[in-house]
Amino acid sequence: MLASVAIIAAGCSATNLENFPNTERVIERADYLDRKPIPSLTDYQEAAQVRVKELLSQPLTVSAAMEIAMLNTPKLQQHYQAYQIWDEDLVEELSVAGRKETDPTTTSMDWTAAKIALMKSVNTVYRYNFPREYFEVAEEFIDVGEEVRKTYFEAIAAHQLQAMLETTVTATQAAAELANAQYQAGTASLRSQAMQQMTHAETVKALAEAKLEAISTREALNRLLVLWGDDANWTAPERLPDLPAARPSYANLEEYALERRFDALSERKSWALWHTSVDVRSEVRENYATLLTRYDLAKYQQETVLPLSEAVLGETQKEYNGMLMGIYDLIDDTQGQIEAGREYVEALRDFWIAQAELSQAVGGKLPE
Amino acid sequence: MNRREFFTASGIGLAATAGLISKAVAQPAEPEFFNDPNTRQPLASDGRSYTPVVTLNGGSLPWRMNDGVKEFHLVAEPVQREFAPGMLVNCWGYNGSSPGPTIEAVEGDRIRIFVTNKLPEHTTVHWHGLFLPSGMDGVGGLSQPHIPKGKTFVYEYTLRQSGTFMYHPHSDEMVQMAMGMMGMFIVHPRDGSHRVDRDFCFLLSSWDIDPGTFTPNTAEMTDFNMWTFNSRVFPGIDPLVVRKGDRVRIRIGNLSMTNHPIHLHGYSFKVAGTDGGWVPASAQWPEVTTDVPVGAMRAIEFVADVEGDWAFHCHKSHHTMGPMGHEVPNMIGVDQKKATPKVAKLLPDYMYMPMGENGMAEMQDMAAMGMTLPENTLPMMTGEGPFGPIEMGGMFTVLKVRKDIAPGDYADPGWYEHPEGTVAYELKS
Repeated sequence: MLASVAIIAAGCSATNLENFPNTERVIERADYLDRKPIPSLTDYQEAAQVRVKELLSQPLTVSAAMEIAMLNTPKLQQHYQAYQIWDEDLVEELSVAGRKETDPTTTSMDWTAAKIALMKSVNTVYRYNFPREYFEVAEEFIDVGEEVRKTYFEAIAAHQLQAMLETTVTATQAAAELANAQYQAGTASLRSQAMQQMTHAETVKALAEAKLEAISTREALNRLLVLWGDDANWTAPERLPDLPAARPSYANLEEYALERRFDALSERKSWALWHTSVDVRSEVRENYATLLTRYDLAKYQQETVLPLSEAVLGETQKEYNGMLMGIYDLIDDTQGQIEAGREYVEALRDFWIAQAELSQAVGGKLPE
Repeated sequence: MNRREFFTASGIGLAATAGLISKAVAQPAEPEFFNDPNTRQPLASDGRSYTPVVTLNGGSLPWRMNDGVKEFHLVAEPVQREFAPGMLVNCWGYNGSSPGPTIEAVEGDRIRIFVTNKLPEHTTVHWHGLFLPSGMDGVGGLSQPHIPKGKTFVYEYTLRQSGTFMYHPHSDEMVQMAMGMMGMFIVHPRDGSHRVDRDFCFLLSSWDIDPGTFTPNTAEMTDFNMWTFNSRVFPGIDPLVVRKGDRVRIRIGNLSMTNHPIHLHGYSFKVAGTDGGWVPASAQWPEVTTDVPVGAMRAIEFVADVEGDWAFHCHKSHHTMGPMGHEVPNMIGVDQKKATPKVAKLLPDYMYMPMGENGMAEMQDMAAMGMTLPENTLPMMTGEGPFGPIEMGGMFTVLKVRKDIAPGDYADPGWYEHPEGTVAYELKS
């Protein structure tokens, strides 16, 4: 309170305009700032740029996205600098690890990067000393990894959902055109024509939202991967990775997490060990249950609901053949089928996100 | 030939052997079953002067004589009825069939009807239009206890009039009738009057059987989609085959939920009998359509003196159609060109065709092309005639008049061969 009073008092005495910089001086200063020379690229940056462009030349997989994040994230680069491992060797080691990741659905690049960085730093800075900060740094890798995984699957899903909604718009447009033709032929009222147009308008608006969602999630990923210019024009797979055929099953996941989680490890030296363990165990149980539920829901949607929507549409086609149902019923049920497909994509996205969250909860890498 | 077919073939055999059955037998005879939908030959008369009736897509129930009493055995039970090839309906009926077999007797007969209830609920039988003791009238709760499931009740009375009557439940009546429980009851005059050469009978009923389903929805009051002659629809209804010059009677009973203007092509006829009895000649007038109200019977008569294939049908055009969607959008004259490619794109595996723009006649072409319908569902319009699709369904059949038909022969003679120059023709320019 006293401080703010002082500022106000000072302000009163500073109202003399001559004390402010004039326009020319502002330009001068800005000009100086603009001309501040850009430092030349380091070996690390050059190697990283080459590797990033290489990764972006293919449709972006989750492990490629993760490797880019490990290379480009400023916070992680600061650690590389601090550990004095900010060089092309690190880029090479990460790319060797990245090339081993052949499963397009999962990645442990964050875990791998943390391990490489910390192991290399052992020889440079800390010399076999494992202070608490060390684990906190590793935790940052895992947190970046979780964000990248989640955002990646959100972006792919949003793109896929938008494409499917475009089909819905085709459906409502066909219905709206039929309503127009019906009105012209004198078999539908202005009201029913307008009602069909309204239905079409709703899907047009929904499509605009879906397109924006696709852009927003893509840009969120661009920010996480620090991509701009041409690099931001990466292509992605048209579809999310398929649901694994087998239901995930992990034994002794709580113990596994306690062994690996950096926060838990760091607490081994503290009095708070017991409390952290309880939290870790609970988080792991919750995330595992979430993963299984997301898997079951996606599987149910895929194996039960989608065939049901196809059965409904198939029977509607037969009723349309018999002039028992009309063209609008047929179009409605194609929309029903698309909607069931969209719900599957959402369920699949939520499964992959749950997997990312569980990975993070157990310290960055799920058991084999 | 099994026992059942034997009885079918010779009603007279039963009558002839009736004397061998001891009058001490208090149990009903083995019931006769009518599981197939073919029109049976009429039973032989009981020796008196009358023409036994032909029940369209059914037959008359054989009887046995027991100490001067004609005994019949009706079994009320769930049955399956083929409405036409391609559609089987889970009905309730009598003796394997909906409608039940026609009961046929002579004015003055003492009759005893055993009714065995094999339904999942109680029932009764009401003898619609007959003069009888109040306690034989069959109204559950009012004139008798309901017949519990698994039990047999006996109705016994003397037939005091002749004419066209019906039987149906008066016990959970709405459900049981909507499920198809009904039958004809014909009483011939004892004095040989009103005799004709060919005497046909059938019942009208209405059904709500949603496309793709097998069991009637009994809760429906007005929105029916199947309209039947004796629980059959065209082209499942047999033709009425008569010999040129025959005096013909067609008896129609209406147990549907609405009236039916029944129309005969090529002839005028007179209503010779109603639910109240025979109409005096002085009160009859010629007409080509007679309205049969709900719960009523009409017996129309004419002399079949002109050969040909003559349509015979309910004149409510919706009643001569198979199942159709009443909520489908009206596409008459609607240009669907713009939307069609979009719909086709939405349904890549489906042979999408816009429908209704130029009427609905294309429907039958599509059915002929093999477009799949929901299971157990008949096309809205169907039937192939000698000149192309007949485009009918429901309450429609054909009166076939030929000069070279033998008395007592009811077999379908095929399509009429028109004399040259008597068929409408295309004007050649």
